[in-house]
Amino acid sequence: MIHRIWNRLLIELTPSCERVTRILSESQERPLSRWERLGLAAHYRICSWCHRYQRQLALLRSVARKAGAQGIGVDRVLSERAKARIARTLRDAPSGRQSTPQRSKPE
Amino acid sequence: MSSPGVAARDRVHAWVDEHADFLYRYAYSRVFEENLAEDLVQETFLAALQASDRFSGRSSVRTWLVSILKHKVVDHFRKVARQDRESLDSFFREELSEHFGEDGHWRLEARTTPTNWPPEQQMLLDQKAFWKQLETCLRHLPPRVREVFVLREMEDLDTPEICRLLGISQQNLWSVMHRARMALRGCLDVNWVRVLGRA
Repeated sequence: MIHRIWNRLLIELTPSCERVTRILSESQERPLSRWERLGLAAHYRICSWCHRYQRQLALLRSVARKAGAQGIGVDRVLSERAKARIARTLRDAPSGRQSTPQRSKPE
Repeated sequence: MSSPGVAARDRVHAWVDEHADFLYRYAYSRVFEENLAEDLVQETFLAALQASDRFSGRSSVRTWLVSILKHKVVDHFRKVARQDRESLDSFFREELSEHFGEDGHWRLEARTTPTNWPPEQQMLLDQKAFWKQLETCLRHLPPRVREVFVLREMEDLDTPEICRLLGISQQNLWSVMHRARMALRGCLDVNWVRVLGRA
């Protein structure tokens, strides 16, 4: 009974899940205030979803950084047509100023 | 600027053979358009040719080429963001009500309540398939929103720099990132983690 009242109190006193997800996102952009950190810690006691959400955001950042460094699509290669076009552009690049590159045409 | 000599042209041609595929993957991972990625790679090699006499050799050729390409990508995003403000504005107007009830807590009946994700190592066990799914999820984001996410999370640019480049306020950037993260993690949750769990 006391446990239920305590949880009800925490639900009322801590930020809503919607607010918590926003704070969690902003925690990746700025330092959180002491009250915000306290609010999150209290909220996690009653909401495992938001706690999971916190871990998901951390993992999302980590995999996005990996994708940025390695490039998505390990087997994606520049077409021979594009390589030939680049070679032509480099060969024809005029001296002394930036040339106007040939653009690829949408297929 | 001095004229690129024969030796410089030969050197850059060799760089095309060695680094073009990597640069293309790098560009494609950010712009998600094959033709545009090809153009950015071409512009990178052209800039490298024009500046090859200034390449000091302090960093590797690939690192130098990537730094040129990164500038090309950022410059492209800057130009399109200034031409198209509407899609970012409409993204701000969208509600997050599909995830949360009127009381602001997760809607139990929604498919998007966060599941317990496995450790990263397990998530990336089949890395090729995972990148494909991540690409699909990123493609579902509106292009202008995806570009903000790419600048922040893939290029690791900080908030003030992105705001300056795209001409948006800090609050708007935080809102975009919040919604982009919510959408991406929801997409991965439904299409990757829950599928892994069923395997």
